[in-house]
Amino acid sequence: MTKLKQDEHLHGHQWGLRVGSEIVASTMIGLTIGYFLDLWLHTRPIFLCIFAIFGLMAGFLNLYRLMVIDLDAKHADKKDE
Amino acid sequence: MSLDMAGTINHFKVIVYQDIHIGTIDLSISNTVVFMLLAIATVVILLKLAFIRAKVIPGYGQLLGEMLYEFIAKQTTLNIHQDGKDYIPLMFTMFTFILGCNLIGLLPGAFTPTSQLAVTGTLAVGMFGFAIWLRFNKHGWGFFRAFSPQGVPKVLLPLMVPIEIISFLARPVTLALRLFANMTAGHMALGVLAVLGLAAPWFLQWLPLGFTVIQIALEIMIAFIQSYIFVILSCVYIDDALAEH
Repeated sequence: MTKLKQDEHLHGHQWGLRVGSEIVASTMIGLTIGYFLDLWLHTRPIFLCIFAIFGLMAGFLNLYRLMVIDLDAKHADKKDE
Repeated sequence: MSLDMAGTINHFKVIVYQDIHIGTIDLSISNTVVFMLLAIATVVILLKLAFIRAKVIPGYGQLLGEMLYEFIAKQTTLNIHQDGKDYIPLMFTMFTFILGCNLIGLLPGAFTPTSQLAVTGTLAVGMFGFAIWLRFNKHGWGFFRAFSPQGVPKVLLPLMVPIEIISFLARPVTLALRLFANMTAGHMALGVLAVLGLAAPWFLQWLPLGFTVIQIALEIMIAFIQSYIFVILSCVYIDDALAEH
């Protein structure tokens, strides 16, 4: 099915929102795990720093996966046309 | 008129009407609860009305109801490859509930339940918990094998496992955060435009107030899109739980 230009815009808008929430959430989870590990082991701020980096990496990994799914869907759409 | 910016965030305030505490559990009736119940009532009444005299050749109401159901049914079976049909009732309930909550907040003076992180968080954690339960049921302790991706050299495993666990735990957070952020941001933008419109001199009032009309149209669209995204991602997580690793 041919996509309307309007749909493309909508897609971009959603994509942008998704990228933001994906990275923020992963970093937040990483920071929370790091914070509580530090609190437990009295090692502040070692785990906080390590898990913040892990969180960011997880965010980018999730983004990469989303992008692969998105690209596959686009290829499938093109084949249908 | 002066600029009363409090008007932009006043409609996010949770007001407790009736304090009810059973032990340590807080069961108070707040405006969130009232508007969630109203949303459910609206959805149930509208769908009942649509199918009150179901015919082979449907009328407008029945047609709309059937379209909504078929849309969710199609998306669910497309995204959950294994026994997708079993999850249609759950997904349809989830979709109509979130849509009802999103749309009811657009009525003047109403409260948006989905603009509370507690509501979206509970929905997302519930869905995530259900997906984990399904995965445990299907794979047992093999559940944890999903955290060590295939084809990764053993040296990299200490690096990959925490990343995989974080990216797994981030799922309910993104689900909750996205719905909450979209609803809150939209309503706040609407509030700011309305306050600006009221504070502007009379010959300029048409500009911000005109934008509120466009913003409301956008909000209706976002209400649909966000409930759709919530359901689709829930389907993806359930499918992931059921799939072989």
